[in-house]
Amino acid sequence: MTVAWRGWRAAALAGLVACLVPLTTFLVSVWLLGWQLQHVQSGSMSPTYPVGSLLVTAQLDPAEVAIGMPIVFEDPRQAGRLVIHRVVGIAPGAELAFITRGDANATNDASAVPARLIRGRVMWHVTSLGPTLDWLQWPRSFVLFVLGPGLALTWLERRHGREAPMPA
Amino acid sequence: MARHSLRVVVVLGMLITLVGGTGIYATISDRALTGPSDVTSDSLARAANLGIAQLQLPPNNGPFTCDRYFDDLTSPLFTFIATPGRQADAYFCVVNSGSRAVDVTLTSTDVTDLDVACTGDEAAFGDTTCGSVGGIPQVGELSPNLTVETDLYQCDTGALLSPGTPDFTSSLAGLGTIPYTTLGTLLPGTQLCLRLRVYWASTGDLGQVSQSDEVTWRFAFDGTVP
Repeated sequence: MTVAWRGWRAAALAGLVACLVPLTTFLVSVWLLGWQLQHVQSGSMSPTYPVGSLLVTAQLDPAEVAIGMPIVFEDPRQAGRLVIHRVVGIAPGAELAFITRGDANATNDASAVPARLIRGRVMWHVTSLGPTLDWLQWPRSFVLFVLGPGLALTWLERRHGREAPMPA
Repeated sequence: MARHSLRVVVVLGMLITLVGGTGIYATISDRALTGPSDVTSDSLARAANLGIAQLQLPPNNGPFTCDRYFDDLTSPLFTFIATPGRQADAYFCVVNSGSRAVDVTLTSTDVTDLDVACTGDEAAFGDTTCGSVGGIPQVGELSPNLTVETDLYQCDTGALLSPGTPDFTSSLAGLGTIPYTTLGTLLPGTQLCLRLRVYWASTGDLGQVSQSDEVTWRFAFDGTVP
Protein backbone atom coordinates (compact mmCIF):
# COMPACT_ATOMS: atom_id res chain seq x y z
CA MET A 1 0.00 0.00 0.00
CA THR A 2 1.41 3.36 -1.04
CA VAL A 3 1.96 6.25 1.30
CA ALA A 4 -0.29 8.42 -0.89
CA TRP A 5 -3.15 5.93 -0.61
CA ARG A 6 -2.75 5.78 3.15
CA GLY A 7 -2.86 9.57 3.26
CA TRP A 8 -6.04 9.74 1.20
CA ARG A 9 -7.67 7.06 3.29
CA ALA A 10 -6.79 8.77 6.53
CA ALA A 11 -8.07 12.10 5.25
CA ALA A 12 -11.35 10.55 4.08
CA LEU A 13 -11.91 8.85 7.39
CA ALA A 14 -11.09 12.00 9.30
CA GLY A 15 -13.57 13.91 7.14
CA LEU A 16 -16.24 11.30 7.75
CA VAL A 17 -15.69 11.46 11.49
CA ALA A 18 -15.78 15.25 11.37
CA CYS A 19 -19.21 15.07 9.70
CA LEU A 20 -20.61 12.34 11.89
CA VAL A 21 -19.68 13.89 15.24
CA PRO A 22 -21.90 16.99 14.87
CA LEU A 23 -24.64 14.95 13.17
CA THR A 24 -24.67 12.44 16.01
CA THR A 25 -24.59 15.19 18.61
CA PHE A 26 -27.52 16.87 16.90
CA LEU A 27 -29.62 13.72 16.63
CA VAL A 28 -28.93 12.59 20.18
CA SER A 29 -29.74 16.07 21.49
CA VAL A 30 -33.04 16.10 19.59
CA TRP A 31 -33.87 12.69 20.98
CA LEU A 32 -32.95 13.57 24.57
CA LEU A 33 -34.98 16.78 24.44
CA GLY A 34 -38.03 14.91 23.14
CA TRP A 35 -38.14 16.88 19.91
CA GLN A 36 -38.88 15.57 16.44
CA LEU A 37 -37.38 16.07 13.00
CA GLN A 38 -39.83 16.71 10.21
CA HIS A 39 -39.13 16.95 6.52
CA VAL A 40 -41.26 19.34 4.47
CA GLN A 41 -42.19 17.70 1.17
CA SER A 42 -44.49 20.30 -0.30
CA GLY A 43 -44.78 24.01 -0.89
CA SER A 44 -47.97 24.92 0.94
CA MET A 45 -45.96 26.80 3.58
CA SER A 46 -43.59 28.48 1.13
CA PRO A 47 -41.73 30.73 1.52
CA THR A 48 -41.68 30.31 5.31
CA TYR A 49 -40.73 26.64 5.11
CA PRO A 50 -39.58 25.78 1.58
CA VAL A 51 -39.77 22.28 0.19
CA GLY A 52 -36.94 20.18 1.60
CA SER A 53 -36.69 22.08 4.84
CA LEU A 54 -35.88 20.19 7.99
CA LEU A 55 -38.07 21.26 10.88
CA VAL A 56 -37.21 20.67 14.50
CA THR A 57 -40.51 20.48 16.34
CA ALA A 58 -41.47 20.24 19.98
CA GLN A 59 -44.70 19.26 21.67
CA LEU A 60 -47.26 22.01 22.05
CA ASP A 61 -50.00 22.46 24.60
CA PRO A 62 -53.17 23.49 22.71
CA ALA A 63 -53.68 26.21 25.31
CA GLU A 64 -50.51 27.87 24.00
CA VAL A 65 -51.70 28.00 20.40
CA ALA A 66 -52.03 31.54 19.13
CA ILE A 67 -53.39 32.93 15.88
CA GLY A 68 -50.55 33.33 13.41
CA MET A 69 -48.56 30.43 14.81
CA PRO A 70 -47.50 27.60 12.46
CA ILE A 71 -48.50 24.30 14.03
CA VAL A 72 -47.91 20.67 13.18
CA PHE A 73 -51.10 18.63 13.26
CA GLU A 74 -52.55 15.37 12.10
CA ASP A 75 -54.79 15.80 9.08
CA PRO A 76 -58.40 15.58 10.38
CA ARG A 77 -59.39 13.82 7.15
CA GLN A 78 -56.46 11.43 6.91
CA ALA A 79 -55.22 9.78 10.07
CA GLY A 80 -51.48 9.69 10.45
CA ARG A 81 -50.74 12.33 7.81
CA LEU A 82 -48.85 15.26 9.32
CA VAL A 83 -49.39 18.77 8.06
CA ILE A 84 -47.86 22.08 9.06
CA HIS A 85 -50.07 25.09 8.45
CA ARG A 86 -50.62 28.43 10.13
CA VAL A 87 -53.44 29.06 12.59
CA VAL A 88 -55.71 31.77 11.19
CA GLY A 89 -58.63 31.54 13.57
CA ILE A 90 -60.59 29.69 16.20
CA ALA A 91 -63.42 27.49 14.93
CA PRO A 92 -66.84 27.98 16.51
CA GLY A 93 -68.22 25.06 18.47
CA ALA A 94 -68.06 23.34 21.81
CA GLU A 95 -64.79 21.58 21.11
CA LEU A 96 -61.64 23.70 20.86
CA ALA A 97 -60.56 23.65 17.21
CA PHE A 98 -58.45 25.85 14.99
CA ILE A 99 -58.86 27.11 11.46
CA THR A 100 -55.62 26.66 9.53
CA ARG A 101 -54.19 27.59 6.19
CA GLY A 102 -50.96 27.12 4.27
CA ASP A 103 -49.13 30.38 3.61
CA ALA A 104 -49.13 29.63 -0.10
CA ASN A 105 -52.69 28.33 -0.30
CA ALA A 106 -55.57 30.33 -1.69
CA THR A 107 -58.09 29.02 0.80
CA ASN A 108 -58.33 27.90 4.40
CA ASP A 109 -58.07 24.19 5.07
CA ALA A 110 -61.34 22.36 4.55
CA SER A 111 -61.62 21.07 8.10
CA ALA A 112 -60.90 22.72 11.42
CA VAL A 113 -58.16 21.07 13.47
CA PRO A 114 -59.37 19.81 16.86
CA ALA A 115 -56.96 20.47 19.71
CA ARG A 116 -56.42 16.74 20.20
CA LEU A 117 -54.81 16.50 16.74
CA ILE A 118 -52.14 19.10 17.39
CA ARG A 119 -48.73 17.48 17.37
CA GLY A 120 -46.30 20.33 17.89
CA ARG A 121 -44.75 23.64 17.01
CA VAL A 122 -41.66 24.54 15.05
CA MET A 123 -38.60 25.36 17.13
CA TRP A 124 -36.43 26.15 14.13
CA HIS A 125 -35.78 24.95 10.63
CA VAL A 126 -32.91 24.36 8.25
CA THR A 127 -33.49 24.81 4.56
CA SER A 128 -32.69 21.88 2.24
CA LEU A 129 -31.50 19.49 4.92
CA GLY A 130 -34.66 17.37 5.00
CA PRO A 131 -33.89 15.00 2.10
CA THR A 132 -30.39 14.37 3.42
CA LEU A 133 -31.57 13.25 6.82
CA ASP A 134 -34.39 11.26 5.24
CA TRP A 135 -31.83 9.48 3.11
CA LEU A 136 -29.70 8.66 6.12
CA GLN A 137 -32.40 6.73 7.93
CA TRP A 138 -32.40 2.97 8.46
CA PRO A 139 -31.22 0.86 6.71
CA ARG A 140 -28.85 3.20 4.89
CA SER A 141 -27.36 4.56 8.10
CA PHE A 142 -26.66 1.02 9.26
CA VAL A 143 -25.09 -0.06 5.97
CA LEU A 144 -23.07 3.13 5.53
CA PHE A 145 -21.85 3.75 9.03
CA VAL A 146 -21.97 0.39 10.79
CA LEU A 147 -21.87 -2.52 8.39
CA GLY A 148 -19.45 -1.05 5.82
CA PRO A 149 -16.93 0.39 8.29
CA GLY A 150 -17.31 -2.75 10.44
CA LEU A 151 -16.32 -4.99 7.55
CA ALA A 152 -13.43 -2.71 6.68
CA LEU A 153 -12.33 -2.73 10.29
CA THR A 154 -12.46 -6.54 10.40
CA TRP A 155 -10.38 -6.76 7.25
CA LEU A 156 -7.81 -4.33 8.63
CA GLU A 157 -7.62 -6.18 11.94
CA ARG A 158 -6.98 -9.48 10.19
CA ARG A 159 -4.34 -7.96 7.95
CA HIS A 160 -2.70 -6.31 10.93
CA GLY A 161 -2.67 -9.67 12.73
CA ARG A 162 -0.94 -11.37 9.81
CA GLU A 163 1.66 -8.62 9.46
CA ALA A 164 2.51 -8.52 13.17
CA PRO A 165 5.96 -10.04 13.92
CA MET A 166 5.90 -13.54 15.33
CA PRO A 167 7.29 -13.87 18.87
CA ALA A 168 10.85 -15.23 19.00
CA MET B 1 -5.03 5.41 12.71
CA ALA B 2 -7.44 3.97 10.12
CA ARG B 3 -8.67 1.32 12.51
CA HIS B 4 -9.22 3.89 15.23
CA SER B 5 -11.22 6.12 12.88
CA LEU B 6 -13.28 3.18 11.69
CA ARG B 7 -14.11 2.26 15.27
CA VAL B 8 -15.29 5.82 15.88
CA VAL B 9 -17.39 5.72 12.68
CA VAL B 10 -18.98 2.42 13.71
CA VAL B 11 -19.87 3.75 17.16
CA LEU B 12 -21.30 6.97 15.76
CA GLY B 13 -23.14 5.01 13.07
CA MET B 14 -24.73 2.80 15.70
CA LEU B 15 -25.85 5.88 17.60
CA ILE B 16 -27.33 7.44 14.46
CA THR B 17 -29.12 4.22 13.58
CA LEU B 18 -30.44 3.71 17.10
CA VAL B 19 -31.65 7.29 17.51
CA GLY B 20 -33.25 7.12 14.06
CA GLY B 21 -35.23 4.13 15.24
CA THR B 22 -36.80 6.02 18.11
CA GLY B 23 -39.29 7.79 15.86
CA ILE B 24 -37.75 11.23 15.80
CA TYR B 25 -38.23 11.43 12.03
CA ALA B 26 -41.52 12.38 10.46
CA THR B 27 -42.61 13.63 7.09
CA ILE B 28 -44.79 16.64 6.50
CA SER B 29 -46.59 16.30 3.24
CA ASP B 30 -48.73 18.41 1.06
CA ARG B 31 -48.23 19.63 -2.44
CA ALA B 32 -45.58 21.78 -4.12
CA LEU B 33 -46.01 23.76 -7.28
CA THR B 34 -43.73 26.11 -9.14
CA GLY B 35 -44.09 29.17 -11.31
CA PRO B 36 -46.68 31.91 -11.61
CA SER B 37 -49.90 31.83 -13.63
CA ASP B 38 -53.28 33.41 -13.98
CA VAL B 39 -56.45 31.39 -13.87
CA THR B 40 -59.95 32.69 -14.35
CA SER B 41 -62.77 30.26 -14.45
CA ASP B 42 -66.40 29.80 -13.81
CA SER B 43 -68.22 26.53 -13.71
CA LEU B 44 -71.61 25.34 -14.76
CA ALA B 45 -72.29 21.74 -14.01
CA ARG B 46 -74.71 20.15 -16.44
CA ALA B 47 -76.53 16.87 -16.13
CA ALA B 48 -79.48 15.26 -17.84
CA ASN B 49 -80.90 13.58 -14.80
CA LEU B 50 -78.56 14.78 -12.12
CA GLY B 51 -78.88 17.58 -9.63
CA ILE B 52 -75.98 19.53 -8.23
CA ALA B 53 -75.58 21.54 -5.05
CA GLN B 54 -72.93 23.41 -3.17
CA LEU B 55 -71.65 21.49 -0.16
CA GLN B 56 -71.36 23.08 3.26
CA LEU B 57 -68.43 21.84 5.28
CA PRO B 58 -69.01 21.37 9.00
CA PRO B 59 -66.72 23.41 11.27
CA ASN B 60 -65.47 20.14 12.72
CA ASN B 61 -65.63 16.62 11.41
CA GLY B 62 -69.08 15.35 10.74
CA PRO B 63 -71.77 14.88 8.13
CA PHE B 64 -71.75 17.10 5.07
CA THR B 65 -74.68 19.36 4.37
CA CYS B 66 -75.81 19.79 0.79
CA ASP B 67 -77.48 23.05 -0.24
CA ARG B 68 -80.53 23.13 -2.46
CA TYR B 69 -80.08 21.11 -5.62
CA PHE B 70 -80.21 22.71 -9.06
CA ASP B 71 -79.95 21.38 -12.58
CA ASP B 72 -77.04 23.74 -13.14
CA LEU B 73 -74.96 26.06 -11.02
CA THR B 74 -74.28 29.48 -12.39
CA SER B 75 -71.97 31.01 -9.80
CA PRO B 76 -68.24 31.11 -10.59
CA LEU B 77 -66.31 28.17 -9.21
CA PHE B 78 -62.57 28.71 -9.31
CA THR B 79 -61.22 32.22 -9.65
CA PHE B 80 -57.67 32.62 -8.53
CA ILE B 81 -54.15 33.42 -9.58
CA ALA B 82 -52.06 30.27 -9.60
CA THR B 83 -48.75 30.79 -7.88
CA PRO B 84 -46.29 28.25 -6.51
CA GLY B 85 -47.93 26.10 -3.86
CA ARG B 86 -51.38 27.59 -4.28
CA GLN B 87 -54.39 25.40 -4.78
CA ALA B 88 -58.12 25.94 -4.73
CA ASP B 89 -60.85 23.58 -3.57
CA ALA B 90 -64.56 23.37 -4.29
CA TYR B 91 -67.02 20.94 -2.73
CA PHE B 92 -70.18 19.59 -4.37
CA CYS B 93 -73.07 17.26 -3.91
CA VAL B 94 -74.44 15.42 -6.93
CA VAL B 95 -77.78 13.64 -6.65
CA ASN B 96 -79.40 11.13 -8.95
CA SER B 97 -82.97 12.32 -9.24
CA GLY B 98 -83.80 9.84 -11.97
CA SER B 99 -85.46 6.48 -11.71
CA ARG B 100 -82.48 4.31 -12.67
CA ALA B 101 -78.87 3.97 -11.59
CA VAL B 102 -76.44 6.05 -13.63
CA ASP B 103 -72.71 6.13 -14.18
CA VAL B 104 -71.54 9.62 -13.33
CA THR B 105 -68.71 11.12 -15.37
CA LEU B 106 -66.78 14.33 -14.80
CA THR B 107 -65.63 16.30 -17.81
CA SER B 108 -64.36 19.75 -18.60
CA THR B 109 -66.15 21.66 -21.32
CA ASP B 110 -65.83 25.02 -23.03
CA VAL B 111 -62.12 25.09 -22.28
CA THR B 112 -60.60 28.30 -23.60
CA ASP B 113 -56.86 28.80 -23.34
CA LEU B 114 -55.54 32.32 -23.66
CA ASP B 115 -51.98 33.57 -23.59
CA VAL B 116 -52.56 37.00 -22.12
CA ALA B 117 -48.95 38.00 -21.50
CA CYS B 118 -45.46 37.01 -22.49
CA THR B 119 -43.39 37.02 -19.32
CA GLY B 120 -40.21 35.58 -17.89
CA ASP B 121 -38.63 32.90 -20.07
CA GLU B 122 -41.89 31.91 -21.72
CA ALA B 123 -40.77 32.72 -25.24
CA ALA B 124 -37.27 31.38 -24.67
CA PHE B 125 -38.75 27.98 -23.82
CA GLY B 126 -40.42 27.70 -27.20
CA ASP B 127 -43.83 29.27 -26.72
CA THR B 128 -44.61 30.43 -30.26
CA THR B 129 -47.95 31.92 -29.20
CA CYS B 130 -46.57 33.99 -26.39
CA GLY B 131 -48.65 36.98 -25.27
CA SER B 132 -51.08 39.09 -27.27
CA VAL B 133 -50.93 40.36 -30.82
CA GLY B 134 -52.67 43.63 -31.43
CA GLY B 135 -54.36 43.38 -28.08
CA ILE B 136 -55.81 39.94 -28.87
CA PRO B 137 -54.47 37.07 -26.73
CA GLN B 138 -53.00 34.14 -28.59
CA VAL B 139 -53.61 30.50 -27.72
CA GLY B 140 -52.44 29.60 -24.23
CA GLU B 141 -51.00 26.40 -22.82
CA LEU B 142 -52.43 26.35 -19.31
CA SER B 143 -55.19 23.73 -19.51
CA PRO B 144 -52.79 20.79 -20.12
CA ASN B 145 -50.81 21.98 -17.08
CA LEU B 146 -53.69 22.67 -14.74
CA THR B 147 -54.25 19.60 -12.57
CA VAL B 148 -57.68 18.64 -11.32
CA GLU B 149 -57.87 16.21 -8.42
CA THR B 150 -61.15 14.63 -7.41
CA ASP B 151 -61.75 13.20 -3.96
CA LEU B 152 -64.95 11.38 -3.10
CA TYR B 153 -66.45 11.58 0.39
CA GLN B 154 -69.11 9.76 2.32
CA CYS B 155 -71.79 12.41 2.63
CA ASP B 156 -73.20 11.07 5.90
CA THR B 157 -69.86 11.02 7.73
CA GLY B 158 -67.68 13.48 5.84
CA ALA B 159 -64.97 10.83 5.58
CA LEU B 160 -62.84 10.32 2.51
CA LEU B 161 -63.77 7.17 0.62
CA SER B 162 -60.15 6.38 -0.12
CA PRO B 163 -57.74 8.36 2.06
CA GLY B 164 -54.18 8.82 0.96
CA THR B 165 -54.36 9.69 -2.68
CA PRO B 166 -56.91 11.48 -4.84
CA ASP B 167 -59.53 9.22 -6.37
CA PHE B 168 -58.95 10.76 -9.76
CA THR B 169 -56.22 13.01 -11.12
CA SER B 170 -56.21 14.55 -14.53
CA SER B 171 -55.14 17.65 -16.34
CA LEU B 172 -57.95 20.06 -17.11
CA ALA B 173 -57.47 19.39 -20.81
CA GLY B 174 -57.44 15.64 -20.16
CA LEU B 175 -60.83 15.79 -18.45
CA GLY B 176 -62.38 16.75 -21.76
CA THR B 177 -61.05 13.73 -23.64
CA ILE B 178 -62.16 10.12 -23.92
CA PRO B 179 -62.10 8.00 -21.81
CA TYR B 180 -63.98 10.30 -19.48
CA THR B 181 -63.38 10.18 -15.74
CA THR B 182 -66.11 7.98 -14.25
CA LEU B 183 -66.82 8.87 -10.65
CA GLY B 184 -68.91 5.78 -10.01
CA THR B 185 -72.45 4.50 -10.16
CA LEU B 186 -75.14 6.51 -8.43
CA LEU B 187 -78.31 4.72 -7.43
CA PRO B 188 -81.67 6.51 -7.71
CA GLY B 189 -82.21 8.95 -4.88
CA THR B 190 -78.62 8.78 -3.66
CA GLN B 191 -76.07 11.53 -3.64
CA LEU B 192 -72.36 11.85 -4.13
CA CYS B 193 -70.12 14.27 -2.21
CA LEU B 194 -66.85 15.29 -3.75
CA ARG B 195 -64.07 17.79 -3.73
CA LEU B 196 -62.45 19.25 -6.81
CA ARG B 197 -58.96 20.60 -6.26
CA VAL B 198 -57.24 22.68 -8.92
CA TYR B 199 -53.60 23.62 -9.03
CA TRP B 200 -50.97 24.52 -11.56
CA ALA B 201 -48.82 21.50 -12.33
CA SER B 202 -46.02 23.65 -13.60
CA THR B 203 -42.67 21.99 -13.92
CA GLY B 204 -39.89 22.26 -16.45
CA ASP B 205 -40.48 23.57 -19.93
CA LEU B 206 -44.25 23.11 -19.81
CA GLY B 207 -44.39 25.21 -16.67
CA GLN B 208 -42.42 27.95 -18.35
CA VAL B 209 -44.57 28.13 -21.48
CA SER B 210 -47.82 28.08 -19.50
CA GLN B 211 -46.97 30.99 -17.22
CA SER B 212 -49.09 34.14 -17.40
CA ASP B 213 -51.79 32.25 -19.28
CA GLU B 214 -55.49 32.24 -18.57
CA VAL B 215 -57.97 29.44 -18.96
CA THR B 216 -61.73 29.37 -18.60
CA TRP B 217 -63.89 26.27 -18.53
CA ARG B 218 -66.91 24.56 -17.05
CA PHE B 219 -67.14 21.27 -15.24
CA ALA B 220 -69.90 18.93 -16.31
CA PHE B 221 -71.33 15.99 -14.40
CA ASP B 222 -73.13 13.64 -16.73
CA GLY B 223 -75.24 10.64 -15.81
CA THR B 224 -75.50 7.73 -18.20
CA VAL B 225 -77.68 4.67 -17.68
CA PRO B 226 -75.28 1.73 -18.03
